[in-house]
Amino acid sequence: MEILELSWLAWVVTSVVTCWLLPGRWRPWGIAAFALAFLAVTDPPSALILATMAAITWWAGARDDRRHPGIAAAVVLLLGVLAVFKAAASQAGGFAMPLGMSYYTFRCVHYALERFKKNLPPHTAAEFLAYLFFLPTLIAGPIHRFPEFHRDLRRTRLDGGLLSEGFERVLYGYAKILVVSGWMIQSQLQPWIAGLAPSQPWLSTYLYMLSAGFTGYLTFAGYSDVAIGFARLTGFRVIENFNNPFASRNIIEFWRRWHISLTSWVRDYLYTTVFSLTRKPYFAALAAMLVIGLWHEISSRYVIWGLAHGLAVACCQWYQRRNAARADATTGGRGMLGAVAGWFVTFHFVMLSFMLVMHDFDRTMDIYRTLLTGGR
Amino acid sequence: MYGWLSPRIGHRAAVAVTALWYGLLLVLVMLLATEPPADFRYDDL
Amino acid sequence: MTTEPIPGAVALAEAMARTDKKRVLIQGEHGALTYGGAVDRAARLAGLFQRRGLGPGMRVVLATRDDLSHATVFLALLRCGITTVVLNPESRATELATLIDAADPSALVMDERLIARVLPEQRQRFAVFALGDAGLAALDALIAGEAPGAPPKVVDPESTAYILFTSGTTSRPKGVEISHRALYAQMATFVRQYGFGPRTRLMNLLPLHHTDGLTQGVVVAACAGATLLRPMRIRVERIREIVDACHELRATHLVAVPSLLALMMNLGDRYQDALRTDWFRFVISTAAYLDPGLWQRFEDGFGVQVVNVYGLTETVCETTYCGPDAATRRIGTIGKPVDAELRIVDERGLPVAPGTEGELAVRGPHVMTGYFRAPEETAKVLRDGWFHTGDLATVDADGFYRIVGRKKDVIITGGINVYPEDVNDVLRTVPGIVDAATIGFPDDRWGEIVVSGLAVGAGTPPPEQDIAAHFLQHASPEKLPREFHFFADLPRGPAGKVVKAELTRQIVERRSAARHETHAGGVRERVLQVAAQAFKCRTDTLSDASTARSVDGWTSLAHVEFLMALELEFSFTMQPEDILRIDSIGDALALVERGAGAHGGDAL
Repeated sequence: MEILELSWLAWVVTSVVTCWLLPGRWRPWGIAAFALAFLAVTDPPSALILATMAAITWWAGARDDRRHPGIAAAVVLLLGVLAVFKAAASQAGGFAMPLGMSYYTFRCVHYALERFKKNLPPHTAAEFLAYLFFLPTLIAGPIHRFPEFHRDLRRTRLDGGLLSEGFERVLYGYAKILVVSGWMIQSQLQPWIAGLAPSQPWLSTYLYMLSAGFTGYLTFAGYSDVAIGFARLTGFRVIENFNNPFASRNIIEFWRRWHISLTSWVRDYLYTTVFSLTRKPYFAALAAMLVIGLWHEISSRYVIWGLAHGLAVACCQWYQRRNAARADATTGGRGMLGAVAGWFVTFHFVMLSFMLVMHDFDRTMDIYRTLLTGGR
Repeated sequence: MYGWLSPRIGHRAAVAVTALWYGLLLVLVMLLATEPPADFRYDDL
Repeated sequence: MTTEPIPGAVALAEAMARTDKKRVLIQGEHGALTYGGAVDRAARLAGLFQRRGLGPGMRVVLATRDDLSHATVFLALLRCGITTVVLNPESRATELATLIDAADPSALVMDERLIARVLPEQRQRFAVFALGDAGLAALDALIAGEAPGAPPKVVDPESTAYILFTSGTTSRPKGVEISHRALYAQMATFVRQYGFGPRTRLMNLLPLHHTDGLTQGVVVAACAGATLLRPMRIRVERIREIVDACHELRATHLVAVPSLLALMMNLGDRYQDALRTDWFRFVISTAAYLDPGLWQRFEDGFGVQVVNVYGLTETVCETTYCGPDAATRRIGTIGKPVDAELRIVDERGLPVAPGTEGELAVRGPHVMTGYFRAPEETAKVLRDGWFHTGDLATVDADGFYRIVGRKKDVIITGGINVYPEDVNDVLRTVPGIVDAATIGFPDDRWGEIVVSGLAVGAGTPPPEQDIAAHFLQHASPEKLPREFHFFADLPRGPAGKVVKAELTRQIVERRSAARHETHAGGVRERVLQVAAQAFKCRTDTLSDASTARSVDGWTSLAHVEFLMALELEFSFTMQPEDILRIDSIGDALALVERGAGAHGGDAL
């Protein structure tokens, strides 16, 4: 993973230092130049795709805003291209997605739609490019938003607080990936769990499931931390991606705490759109979760995963609406017992669903069977 | 970290502890970064 | 970068003629007026005036919605030494009749639509020139084929440049006469104090029939060789566009009333970068009291200085300035007089001890000549060369002035002066209303709002819509009271006069007893209630700028519930396009106001 490569680190650190040295007017150009250069060197096709998407987005947005088809067509085109690449990448082995494409396509769509809604502050092309070509978040998110980026671009000043925050975040990110997930869990814990397998098949499978879920979380959260940390070092506060997701008391809360930048994108642009066209909230929720699944990979296992979460969310919504009169509707349960029960169910549902996407179908069924029947 | 510690153990102590903590993490990260990533699969169970 | 002061009408015309023809004088909604275009049209207007026998010493009424035509004609009349009587283009027939009668003009230059409202006998007495209310086309048609005229070589500085009516638009009108001397003295102060020059791009959307739009807009721009930006009418739901326009049109200064600043604060932080640019200098806050809290919050939020200024139509426009220079700047005050003298006097007109409250009196070259053909009224306020403002003020040890109250009977709502007697006069003509008394109530957004107590005697109160409709037939929307409160009779003192303090007390009681449905306020409250229910929070934690990011309970489910509840509450269906646009409570409110058809959005 690039973030763990020394070369990426070198690029980002250089870009941070250089961008602070540049005079204010040149900063957006400097930021964009670094990211473009990095991409051109590491994955030229991706650089080309991003540049093309940027041009399309900017062009569609700059046209007379009354011409809705311009922006709508651009959005459909961008998402279509993403879908094609994703589908191809999910097929025959060996084809890797262009670096960062899943993220920057969504950023382009966000920008285009906010432009359509006339929600964007007045800005220059350079600022737009700096937003899209932003090295810290380029390859693994978060899918940060333009208005906040623009505000930080205009206002930010170098100060000690920014540097220490950013440094700490980066350090914690790497610690999560390498120390906790890589060493503690993968190097130490998991072999021990393997050792348990012959005598305790159910327990070892269960612990394996948890450990896999946690390593997945820690790695992903770690990447986000590094990205957010370097963004902070460059002077930007970008949207968080995780907020203690395993403390969630229900599945709706989980999705407000897991991969936040993606889910808020889906909520703002997909969920609301589907709802506005169909007037069916549950259908919109299902569609939203399905898209989240497909965004990872276009494959049957992610379709199942997406639908499973979609159904869970829809049920939870239905339950909450039924209990709307009750004071504590967010937990959807009665006080302490309800909260604990909710947590238990949510936690295990999420962990079980992770198995689906971490293994092929047969293995997953194996795991489920073992957990259900208590052993091989 | 510093912000959390400082009101509890005082400014200088907080700086020291924070520096030590960061140092420890930094050392661990650098050590582990050089190792090949562990690749544990379900089949190994 | 500042220019030489313009001493008179002739000098102004010459300076404008020397300016690059292509430089824009006014950027309007429907096009731009260049210096070249203004000068050319002024010449042909001069020809027209000459041909029709209009010359110095005469008065011409000017009333049009089109900014460019307004400015062109006004500047032309200035040059010709003809007095312009500027009227509100939204004036109703009754108002027009009274004011035209009082002004005793020789000609009317008005929008076609207004001419239709003028009484036939008045129309016959004067030359009438019709303008259109969108763009210069009608004006150009009027002067097509006119040969350029020769305006008088000299314009007497003591002659009246323009007359603006303040109170009494339905009876006993008071027209403020401003001489050329006063006008250009004020312009010189503006240009110097504000540092205006040819590169200045002044955004001023205030109405051109009030002095803030006219003198602190059109005339000062012309005198400085600057560009005036007026890309749209001020409307409450277009505040975002106004802020964006400041950025897009590269405004260097913004002239605003405190209500506009308050609305801008409400937009949320996304808009607060609009003025943080290399070219923007500062905001000028005029026409009403600027609350120090708002002042500080605005400066902190938008990152620019706010220059608070104080003045009256009777002193052309402004007398004291709080900024932009450090010497005159102190938040919470109106600053210090520039090119003028101030005195704080007691009932007898004698200066009071320092630190004591008293009436503010002004002396300077920019003070009015007097009220047109109203010597007694003039004598009441102009004594010994000092103009008594009717405002109560104090001065501190460092010479900073503070307005602490008001002696005169006027309500300032959204920067616009509304005279209670004018409102009462119209309300008394409404069938079913026996008597009326109008007072101002403090309001966070507008400074004050106009509230009327109506006595209905033994009858039932007429429906508020009917009262409003009747009112709007006889008076412009600026004056429409925001609230009506009905009484059998108004509280009176022994002499039979309405006791305002008691009326205020009774109205305060009623307002807190019931949730009063105001014309526009009711909608906002209902939207907040719906939102509070959908997001499981209290209405006082919500504001126009609240979004899913700032409100905890605003989940996607809550969002669709909010939308559906709004549709139910206001009985309308949202289009998918509209739904997509709703990010904040303010968005929802704007949509409801558009859909639910409130009259809201008139002049601030």
